[in-house]
Amino acid sequence: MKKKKILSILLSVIVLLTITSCETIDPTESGNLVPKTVSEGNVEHASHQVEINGSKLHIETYGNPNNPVIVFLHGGPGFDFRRLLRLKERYNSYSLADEYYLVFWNQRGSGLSKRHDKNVLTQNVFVEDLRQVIDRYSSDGKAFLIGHSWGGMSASLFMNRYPQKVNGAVLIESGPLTGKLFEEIKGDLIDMNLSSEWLNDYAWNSQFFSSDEHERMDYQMTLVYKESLPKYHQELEVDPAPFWRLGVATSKYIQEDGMDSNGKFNFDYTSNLQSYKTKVLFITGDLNEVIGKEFQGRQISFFNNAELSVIKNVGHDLDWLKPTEIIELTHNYLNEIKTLKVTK
Amino acid sequence: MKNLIMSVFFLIIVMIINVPTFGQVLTPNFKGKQSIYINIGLDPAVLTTFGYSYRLSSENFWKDIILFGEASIPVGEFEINDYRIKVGIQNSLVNSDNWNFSLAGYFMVRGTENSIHSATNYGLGILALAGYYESDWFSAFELGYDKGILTDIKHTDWYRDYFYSDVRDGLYSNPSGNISLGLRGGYLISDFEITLRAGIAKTEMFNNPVGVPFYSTVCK
Repeated sequence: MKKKKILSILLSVIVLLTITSCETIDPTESGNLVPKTVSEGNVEHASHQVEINGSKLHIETYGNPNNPVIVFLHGGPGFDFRRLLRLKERYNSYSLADEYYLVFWNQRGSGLSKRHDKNVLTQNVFVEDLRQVIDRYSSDGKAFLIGHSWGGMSASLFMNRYPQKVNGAVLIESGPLTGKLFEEIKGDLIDMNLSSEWLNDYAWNSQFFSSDEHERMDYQMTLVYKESLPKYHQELEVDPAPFWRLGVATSKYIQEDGMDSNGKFNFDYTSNLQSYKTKVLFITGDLNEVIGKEFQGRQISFFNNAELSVIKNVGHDLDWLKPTEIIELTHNYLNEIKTLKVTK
Repeated sequence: MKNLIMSVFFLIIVMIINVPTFGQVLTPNFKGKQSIYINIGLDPAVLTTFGYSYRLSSENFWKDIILFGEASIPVGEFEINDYRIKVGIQNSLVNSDNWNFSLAGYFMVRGTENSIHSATNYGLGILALAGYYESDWFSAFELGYDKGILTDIKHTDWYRDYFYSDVRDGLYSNPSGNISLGLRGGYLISDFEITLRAGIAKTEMFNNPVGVPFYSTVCK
């Protein structure tokens, strides 16, 4: 009897020691599952932290600060500018940084910029952030805008409010510029087939990590990226367009800010666009079945003066996979605007 | 409302493809000693569960103890790496006239393999069931709490190479907790019982879970 007792105590101690000797990781601690933001002490990008409009934003600049400014607007809402960085590189002996001051800006709550809660994740705050970004980097308070996907939408939102602050714009496969258009296509965006692998992986994973704070939510959203948008025809196996993290709160609240109480998109970024006289360049890939050539062909009519260029054999990740073509189109477009201004 | 419609729609679909078998754990009006059961439904992914329960014979207070074990796999992909195994015990704590209150506790191991990681989760769960039981039908409320204690993770090269090279592999503590609240009803025909479950799911902090914030299964 005594031997049994000693043995059971020994066993309990061994089990306890085994459990306590395992080093465990806190899933809510920043940096474990997704990168730390600049406000959480991201060492690698500490020098790119910029305080704007009460937030700590991750902004990288390239080129000569005395040159005209181009601000890059990333997709999402909630993606980041990591996938746009090929647009700063040199192709065919030319880089946009040769002639322009390139400003890559992670919007608040996105990428390595500081996370925020709902109250400051609104479209009005976004517009004010962009206004302050332009004023900070541009001596004349004006900039060119290059936006991809949501970045195209947000560029239009900004131009609708502050047309005088925008020298020109390149909208790369922009999302819908009105809620009405968004409602038309939203059923085609995400593959909601109940037997689809991504949806089951995503739902199944809720047993492994709960979505109770930013880190775990952002991490799990990565599961959605790979297969949820089949009609966008993106390259996701080899050389997928990268990101630092997907800002779930930003995505959710910025989108909700463009909806009515029934959850229908009702925003309109086009009400004042006709007053914008400078030519706008739309670029799209020919593979996207939802917001590709036909869709962008409809969107150019929101502007007084716009042109659509189509890049072949690419889907929604044209910003990442076709930088040479995009830079060439952008370069020509910016030269055209420059020439027109000189002529005037 | 949209979730409710989807839930009802899904129930209809799974009823059509349901596979006949015997009884079900956690429905005390089934009086057999052993039962096997199949669940098909959304919990939290689209899955199939195969289960077995064994009723212990005893005449004392613990007179209706049921031991059960079940294995679930998502049906969307049929990958052996995605699974859930539960073993547990259930007891009827209150059994008065047609009213019954049962409590079940279980241990579970869950696995998954997807584009960003392969993971194994170890957890505990508790499920309370209070309802009205006739000889051939019942309806009941259920409240469940499913607690992930540890998740052991190894990240994929895809996630490391293209997104975050410094992501940490290893044992994550206190990674998950989910609450379910719902209704279930059943109808008994001879040795066969059909049970429908549906309800809402929340995280332990009362947020919506990733994926779908509701569950529904059919058991036969």
